[in-house]
Amino acid sequence: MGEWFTDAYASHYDAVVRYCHRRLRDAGAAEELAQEVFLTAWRRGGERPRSMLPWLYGIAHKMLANEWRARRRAASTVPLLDEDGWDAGVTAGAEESVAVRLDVEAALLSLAEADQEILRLVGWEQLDLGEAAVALGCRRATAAVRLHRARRRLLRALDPPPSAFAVDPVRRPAVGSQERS
Amino acid sequence: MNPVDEVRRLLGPVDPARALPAYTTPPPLAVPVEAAPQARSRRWALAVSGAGAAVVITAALLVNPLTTRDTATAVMPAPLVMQYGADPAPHPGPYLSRLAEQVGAAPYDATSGRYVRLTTKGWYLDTTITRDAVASATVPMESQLWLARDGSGRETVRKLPPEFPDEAARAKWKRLEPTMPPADPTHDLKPGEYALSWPRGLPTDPAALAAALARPGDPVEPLLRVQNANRELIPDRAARAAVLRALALLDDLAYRGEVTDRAGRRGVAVSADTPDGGRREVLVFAPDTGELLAHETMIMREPGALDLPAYPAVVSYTLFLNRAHVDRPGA
Repeated sequence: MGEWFTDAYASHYDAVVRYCHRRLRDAGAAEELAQEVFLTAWRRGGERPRSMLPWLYGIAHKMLANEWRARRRAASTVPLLDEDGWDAGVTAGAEESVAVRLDVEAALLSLAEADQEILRLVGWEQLDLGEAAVALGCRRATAAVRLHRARRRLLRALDPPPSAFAVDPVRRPAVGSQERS
Repeated sequence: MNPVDEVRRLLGPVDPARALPAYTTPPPLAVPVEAAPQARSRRWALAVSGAGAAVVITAALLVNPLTTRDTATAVMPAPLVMQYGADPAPHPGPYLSRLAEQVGAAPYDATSGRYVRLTTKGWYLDTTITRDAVASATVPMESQLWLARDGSGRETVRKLPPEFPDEAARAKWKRLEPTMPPADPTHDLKPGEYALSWPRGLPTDPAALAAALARPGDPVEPLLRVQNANRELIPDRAARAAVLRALALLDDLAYRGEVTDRAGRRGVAVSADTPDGGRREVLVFAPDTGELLAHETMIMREPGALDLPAYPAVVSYTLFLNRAHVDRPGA
């Protein structure tokens, strides 16, 4: 096994698990998929670019699109208010924040998968446009256009934008039952 | 605020990974070898732990139900008997070129429809090996895929109950198997959900197709890409001939000659070995239509971690049983 691989595994395992978890919402499945991503990376080592992490994300994206669909379905109901999720520790008085989060999440989930992915890569994986382009297998200019359009659609889905919400979390739609694509 | 910053501001607070612990020490690397129908790109592989700890290996072995008996060795199918089974085998160039000239029509060539319907079947034995235990399960699997060129459609994967040589094996498997949520057998695909490897179909120019199939230093990749294409599209007569002509142009392939696949169909086989000679991929084509009938993966020698009963060992097997153009998913 090449040194590049052991270095990549040690350096990027955490980031790849997080990438997978953001799309699977299942820590165990995310860990397993991350391992498969690295195995695929190992097998395709000859193709690896200098920008390793976006490349790994690209591998994970393709695996999620195909091989993991069936498994993902079993956990397709996204718990937006799960016990150990992002809302952990929400206290009374934080309802507005919770509702805003719900709306952002619901808006994101309402977008096409391609829009979601560019937004996640930039917003959660913290990739710049050049890195996102590597992950998506496109040119930087294309990634920039995709981000622009996806951001516009996200904002449209959030209309009015979250900062302007008058919040009543009880009357929010049951977005927790939405199925992830 | 520029778009990148704005997206981060919006999405940052809803990052589902916020609550995850830091994975500072990666676990031992598990090596999956399963070749499930929907696992279009999984390959046989062996690896060691990235962290230098215990090695976990997951393998998948084909099981021929006709020969399954109540022993560990019986779940392993015998390798296909091929006309040129021994090495060295001839290069397939002249054989496949001649075959390409004779490619005839398939029943679906004159049909059309928004969706392709692909029916495959395979038998797999998953083996999990840890430092102190080995567990195996035989998993037959049937798959039907309805797929439009926009990536929408439906997929039905019927994973039949795992089979075990004995109760002890079942108990060990239950202890070691990865815990994954059960999957629904049927899944509707939204547009774009199925990422096509060949969104524009197969090139019908043999040289262009050969270039698209080849990857330097990886002799088995062209065969894997051909079988991947057959998992998402139906090559028409011209494309089937082009595949044969393209493979005829590539180095490092072996012509294995006449063979009868595990569905009893006559075919001709082409194989390629990994550079280290440890793994062999085999494709079986119909001699009259040029259709891909079967894909088989074999481990050629003891890889040092698996305790398979004999080598070469068939580790995955897929039969391409039916292809059709239909107008709606489920038809």
